[in-house]
Amino acid sequence: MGELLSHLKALRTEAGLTQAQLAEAVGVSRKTINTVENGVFVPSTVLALKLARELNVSLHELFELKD
Amino acid sequence: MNELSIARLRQIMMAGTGIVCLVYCFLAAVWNTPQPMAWYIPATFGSGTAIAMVLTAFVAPKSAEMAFDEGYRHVAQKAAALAYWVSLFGFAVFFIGFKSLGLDLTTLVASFGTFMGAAYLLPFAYLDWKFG
Repeated sequence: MGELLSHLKALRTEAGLTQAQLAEAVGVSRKTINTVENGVFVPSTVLALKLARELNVSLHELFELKD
Repeated sequence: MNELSIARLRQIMMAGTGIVCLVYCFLAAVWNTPQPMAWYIPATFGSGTAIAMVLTAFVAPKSAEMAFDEGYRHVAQKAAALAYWVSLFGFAVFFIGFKSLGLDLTTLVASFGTFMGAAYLLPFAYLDWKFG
């Protein structure tokens, strides 16, 4: 995942959600949320959109390409 | 039962089945017998794992769905890709090894068959444990 920069952790914390709460809201495991936050795993488009919707942000605010 | 406990159960059961398969493979080759232990032992472990996973879907459907999410599918694909190459390489090694040692074809089938099982199960358990 060297090319993708994730702001998920910051936005999740800002929204006052725990990893478990966000995981349950989007229907994945806490492990998956953790790996997306740590840049280990690139989520699918569907999951990325669900995360953005849940955090009420745009996809570009959640993820960006590294230069 | 939450999704993390289901994932942990999955890791333990798949690792256990993988170890049994590897032991069966090793003993079959060393003792030159297709049945170094009761044939149904690896099968029982494998079936038990599958049944346990299906049962979690009935006991805790939401948690099971979360445990078998796209993160799980990512790990499963990586393990399957690794198992493919390990098995392909193993096929050559087993065939040459058995041919040169003059072991039975039935032993080769039993040993290599369980090796292929272990080639998927053990990397899966490791990658699943490492993931997250």
